[in-house]
Amino acid sequence: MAAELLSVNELKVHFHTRDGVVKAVDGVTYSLASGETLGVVGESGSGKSVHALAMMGLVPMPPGKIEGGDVSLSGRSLIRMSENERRGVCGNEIAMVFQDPMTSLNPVHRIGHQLAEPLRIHKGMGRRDAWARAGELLQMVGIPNPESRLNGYPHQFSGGMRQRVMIAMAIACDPGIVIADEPTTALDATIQAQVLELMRGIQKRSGLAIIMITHDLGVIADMADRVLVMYAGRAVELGSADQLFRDARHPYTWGLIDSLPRYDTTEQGGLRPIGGQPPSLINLPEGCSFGPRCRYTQDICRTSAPALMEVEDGHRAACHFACDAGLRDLSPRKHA
Amino acid sequence: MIKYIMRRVLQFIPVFFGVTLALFLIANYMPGADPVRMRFGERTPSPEVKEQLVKQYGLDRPWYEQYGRYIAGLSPVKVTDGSLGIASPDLGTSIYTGRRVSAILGEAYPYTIRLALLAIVIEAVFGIGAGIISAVKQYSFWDVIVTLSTSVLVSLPVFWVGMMLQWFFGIWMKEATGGVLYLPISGTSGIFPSVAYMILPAITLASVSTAYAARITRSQLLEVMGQDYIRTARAKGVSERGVLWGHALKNALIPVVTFIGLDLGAMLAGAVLTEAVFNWPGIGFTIARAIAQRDFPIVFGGVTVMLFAVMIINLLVDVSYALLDPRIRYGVGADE
Repeated sequence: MAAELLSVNELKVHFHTRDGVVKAVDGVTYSLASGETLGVVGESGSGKSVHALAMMGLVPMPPGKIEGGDVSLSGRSLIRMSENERRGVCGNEIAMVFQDPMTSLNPVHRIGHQLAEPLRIHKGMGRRDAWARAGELLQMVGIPNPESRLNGYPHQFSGGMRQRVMIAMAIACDPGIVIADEPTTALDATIQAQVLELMRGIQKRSGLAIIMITHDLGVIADMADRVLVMYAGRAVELGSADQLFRDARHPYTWGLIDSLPRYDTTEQGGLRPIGGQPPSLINLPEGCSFGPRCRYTQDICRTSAPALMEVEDGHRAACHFACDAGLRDLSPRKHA
Repeated sequence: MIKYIMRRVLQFIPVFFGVTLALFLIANYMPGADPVRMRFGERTPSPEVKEQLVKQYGLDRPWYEQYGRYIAGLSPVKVTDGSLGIASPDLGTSIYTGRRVSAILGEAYPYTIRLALLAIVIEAVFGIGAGIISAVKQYSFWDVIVTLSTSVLVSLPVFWVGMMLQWFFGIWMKEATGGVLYLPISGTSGIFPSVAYMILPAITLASVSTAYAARITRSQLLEVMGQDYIRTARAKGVSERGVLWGHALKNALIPVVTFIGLDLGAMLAGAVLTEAVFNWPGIGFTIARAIAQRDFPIVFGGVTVMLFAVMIINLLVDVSYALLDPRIRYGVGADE
């Protein structure tokens, strides 16, 4: 594995609301090497976006609060550094692409101005140089006539084009890491493929690491080297994409894989969703938080929360039965 | 844009005729609407004098003929001796004083304009300023002060505010504090000698609108600060100050500018209450007096001038809207 760039250690982000403490992220640990793509999957509310926003200092505090753990970027703690230091890092060494390109660009500023902004802040470029560089960036993300498009406003761009602009903005300062928070969810299927292709191309050229947050396993299969599966604020499985798709150990991961539409069988019955609802993050169930929805629940699952344990090299799962070959044979995918 | 302005200017025509016609009809059917009797008050004019005056002002003619004459008098293009010529618009003569209406309005209008401009400056500076402070420091002491004082202010009658200010700054401050913060009800004082007499009327005129401007600014800014593009700016490493001044304010101020612009139009149309409380010889005061005296030429002339002032201000507001918000481009072919 290449040098470790980012390491997240037992990160906990809680929101103190009137109804109680929402444990949005409750102990997530992983590391990221340069040039690597980590896919983060999970349902809505699993904490996948919040953990990324917390790294970028974008969680509103209050009500949010980082209760514990650390994130270190090349040895410096993103959590403990001062606001000023963090501003120097965000957009410069670690950048973010958001879900909805329609609302993520400022409607009253020209595209060129918005693209030039990180260059002027972090690289100390003058107006003219930054503008010229912004043109190159637009070209790089495949927008035709970059010079004239720089003068355009966001509303004059289509959704796919805006997401390209967001990507251009993220890579403007040549960061080591780009966090992409559901970058294709708001786009048409054909545009999705183009945007993913664009990100792959940029990654190949510049060797940046990508954290791809998504609930779309198709995107994961397409992009990710390694995958982190999150459930109710915790990591439930972490491994290489190959390990996960071939030999997932957590029943939740099975559920996710199983709920994908399949074209390769003639099996009847349509989609197979995971039954039930994610638990309330204020009142997590005792024991395994996936327990109430898991069809293999045993007594131990109701009383003790499983720790993330190594099941094979580089593959960890948080299930009491992750190493239990007998249970694994029950995996629905194995039956199919 | 030019096309849009032309179209708006053409829309003046039906509005102008509609308002003046309505005014004529009201005047015609108004009870006790005998201008000649009003002019003589207690005395009774001789039948010959009365008849002459009635003839002179065309009061014996049906209302549509009077209206036609009035419009013809207003028209800058006139037929004299069978040939077309340009002449300045004729607003007629006051029945009560016999002076030219244009001269009377010419004296009154500068007072109204002066007062309106100062009031608008107060409204913009203090309204927007208070709104920004209270939004940026939401739920702080200052926010509570602004929110409370604006709720009180919007519910106070303007004339009462005016009288209280007169009493407080003009009388109490002079006697109780020996002139600290003393502001004259009229005339000059030690501080700001050239505008001292305008300060209290301008504050009075601006009071309610300032409160509204502050509330609109606050709510708009709070809404904008929650938008995705603000998060994008923060993710780029823009400082909080840069986020506020560079990204949030321009978006938040669009509705505020509209409000203040329309308010300027309303102020130019005369502030009857404020002008009455301060004996301010502006257009509102003049028209109010003319209505009491049934001096219709002054009322018609005053309303006509106001009408143009309001329509021009409204047009300017709409045009400035397009300058502030690039998503709004008037006319066909502007959005490409």
